[in-house]
Amino acid sequence: MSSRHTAPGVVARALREPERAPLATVLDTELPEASVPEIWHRIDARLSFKEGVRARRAPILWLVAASFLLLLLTRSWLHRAPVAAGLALEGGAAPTVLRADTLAGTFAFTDGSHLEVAPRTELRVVKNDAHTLVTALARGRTTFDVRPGGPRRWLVEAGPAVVEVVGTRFTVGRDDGTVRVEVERGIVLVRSETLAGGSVRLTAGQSVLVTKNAVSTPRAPAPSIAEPVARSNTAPPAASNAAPIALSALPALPATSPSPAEANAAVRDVPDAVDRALATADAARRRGDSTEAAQALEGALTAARPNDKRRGLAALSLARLVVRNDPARAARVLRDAFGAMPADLLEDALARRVEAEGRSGRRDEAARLAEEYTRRFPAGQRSSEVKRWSGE
Amino acid sequence: MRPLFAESEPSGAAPLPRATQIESRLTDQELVTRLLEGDRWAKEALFRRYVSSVWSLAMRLVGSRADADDIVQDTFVEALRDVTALRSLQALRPWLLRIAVHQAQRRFRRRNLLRRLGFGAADDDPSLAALIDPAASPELCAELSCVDRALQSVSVAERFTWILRHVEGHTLEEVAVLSDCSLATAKRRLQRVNGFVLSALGHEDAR
Repeated sequence: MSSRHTAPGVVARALREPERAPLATVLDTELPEASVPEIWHRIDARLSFKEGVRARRAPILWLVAASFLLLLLTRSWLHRAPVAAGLALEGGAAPTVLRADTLAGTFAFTDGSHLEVAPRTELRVVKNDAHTLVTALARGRTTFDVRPGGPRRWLVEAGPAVVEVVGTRFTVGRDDGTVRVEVERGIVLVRSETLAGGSVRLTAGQSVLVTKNAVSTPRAPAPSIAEPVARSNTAPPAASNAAPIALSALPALPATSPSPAEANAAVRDVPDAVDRALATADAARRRGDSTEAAQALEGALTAARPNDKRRGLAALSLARLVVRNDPARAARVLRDAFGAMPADLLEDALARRVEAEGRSGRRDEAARLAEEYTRRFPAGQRSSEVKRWSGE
Repeated sequence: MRPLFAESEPSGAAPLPRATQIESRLTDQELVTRLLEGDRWAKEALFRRYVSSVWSLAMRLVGSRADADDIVQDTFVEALRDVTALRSLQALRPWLLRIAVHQAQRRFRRRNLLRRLGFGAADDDPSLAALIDPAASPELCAELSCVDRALQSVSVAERFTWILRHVEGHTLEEVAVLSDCSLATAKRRLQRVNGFVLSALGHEDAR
């Protein structure tokens, strides 16, 4: 590099030997010592402020993070993989018609639900997709044990009634004139043109009888007074180990609800005397007429055969009505019908017997029944009442 | 061979502030260890050990005492808040200087932007000549004025690279580290700025 003249001073030297002769040596850039504390105080204040802000922000940041996570979960739930198209039976077969001719049988589904189909029953699957399973009960009696929390809404169309359920155990029976729905667990909604208000909500232990005429639409009392289930002795529950029934290949019915005309046409007459008496008793109790209800229940006791489960139901219902005013009568009807008591009402019935005997002054009998109660139901829900009425 | 960014050794010659007096015998590594263990005094000790270096560098980069104060504050706030990001305990000094250079670049670019938008005065350009020792000769003042004119015509990154090399006296490797660029980029920048400086100093074939 040729130059007209050489840079004579420090800059030229710094350019040639920057590491040996930096220009910094000729600059006055020393920090005044007096400034150091002032600068540090500002830094310290900023650090303290930032830590404080960070601490104050922490809950907000957690809240924001939680909201974001919730948003992600909601989004993933909304966009989750679709459930399998339809519910299948264990073994993979798609249900179309569940028919039992001479033998009862059990049908288990892949989601854990199962159906117990009584003899002479025909149950058709009219719709089966990811969200709904609709069956139509043409005749007979079926107990549905639907696994709670499943993705599908179960609907049972039975002539004039449509039963809607999410997760429960209930029985639907249909004969020429009536549809009877009995709930053992959970809650179901029964819809029918013939029901007052168009529908009724049933909880555990309640039942309803749907008939052609609106006046014959008995239902159980309010949930606060749990009404036992009336079981028909014409169609005993299917044994769980019964041989499975072969599925026929009949085409599924269209997914439509029965029209009122169809419902009316399917109904001819009210059921037998026991059901009529129970229906009358329910209607009377809803009106607050305990006397007529008691008379109707006595009629049901009289009409029912000795081993008819409805006899146990009627006895327990009657005992509840009269146990305060006429405990001896309550004790008598319970004692007479105890052999026909449904298994799921046995604890309540035994406790009522203790109460009735205790109220009527039969201490020894009350104590004996109390011992029986304790033996059968060591952790019974009514243990304290039983002890009180037995004089313990 | 001189180590990259030689650690500054505590000196007992000059009177030292309180935190420095207390911890003057600690090495950088021990100081950072104490800092990571939560000793609050270590913050001030670290500050006092390096504030002079950082302030002088900032002053020569931006040429303004007020800006240098702000850069020092921003540098130590960032460093003391994120000390866990320090990857090597022996790299404390270059780490601090690198933060200071970054802060100075931000401030310098912001000032240039404000000036373009009409919010800055033309006479607040950083000047090496304004920082010269009052006892320096008039010839040296004239040379540095030429250098200032040359630096006004280059980018912020090129200006800082040149200052780090020829004013601060860092090696090329150190300049690359402090400028957060590759060695080749640092060399290219220096070559370009040197052309402007030599041209300003009167060299015919400078460019």
